[in-house]
Amino acid sequence: MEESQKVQGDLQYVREVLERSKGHRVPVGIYYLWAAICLIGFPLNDFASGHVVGIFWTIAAPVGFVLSGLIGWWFSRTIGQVDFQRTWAVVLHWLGTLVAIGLVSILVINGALEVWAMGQAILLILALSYFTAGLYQDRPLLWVGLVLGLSYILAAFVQGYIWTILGIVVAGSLVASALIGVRRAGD
Amino acid sequence: MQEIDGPEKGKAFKSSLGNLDKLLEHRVRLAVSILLSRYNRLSFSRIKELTGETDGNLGANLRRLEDAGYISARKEFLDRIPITWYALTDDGRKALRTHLNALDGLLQEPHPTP
Repeated sequence: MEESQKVQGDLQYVREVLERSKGHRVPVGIYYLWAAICLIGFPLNDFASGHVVGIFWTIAAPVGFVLSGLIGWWFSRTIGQVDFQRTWAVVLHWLGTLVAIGLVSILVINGALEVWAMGQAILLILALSYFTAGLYQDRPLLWVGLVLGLSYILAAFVQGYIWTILGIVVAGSLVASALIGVRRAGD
Repeated sequence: MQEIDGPEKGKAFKSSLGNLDKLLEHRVRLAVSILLSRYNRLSFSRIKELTGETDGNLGANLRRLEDAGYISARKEFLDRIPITWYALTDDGRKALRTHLNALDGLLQEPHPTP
């Protein structure tokens, strides 16, 4: 009986160590990066032609994706914890999101979707993607997903500078999520 | 714990005890091995932060795992600061699996009456 009690005590210690390893630290640089991209990219819909918007996102999305990977890699080295399985899951999640956004253009090309509605479709994909990322990656992203979902509804009914408002709201929610992550890490 | 009678009592329990790995019976070494089975690589400072052990105690335990061939160590520099990264070897993974199976048996199997 003493042996099994010792084993149970040791397993409790191991469980606590494992729980600590799942800590709240998040690579906040990625949040700030996408806040900046959204703050520039979303308002472009209100102030620039569709051609300019297309060029911006064609460049910003993959560049942001690569920079996010580099920030994540640097972050894992800084905290001293490398998890290839998690990294791979995160990369696939966001790569899938990028591909889905790219595929929306097919609906526009074959006439199933009006150009003006493309932005809203992308917003909906982003909302779902951030929400699911919040469920199994970094919890603060859940709130970004909810804000994007609400923005999608808002975009359907509000006219005038809606993309500028959305850009500010999305960037703000990303910065707020980053600050929440920093505060949790300090607990 | 459920108690059993008869000549077979305690047989499975003793078998589980026999399969325990002496090196992994120490809780710090067990925790480090499980951490390294969960993550690909961990630095010395990260393991220290997670286990809450002192440099000396942790270093000694890591050395024992390294000497047994259960973990591998690699030194690197990040911003001129030396970092030692640890990873679980194939032998370590195998030993950990055997040890955890034995632990599972110890906790699951009926406990023998004295």
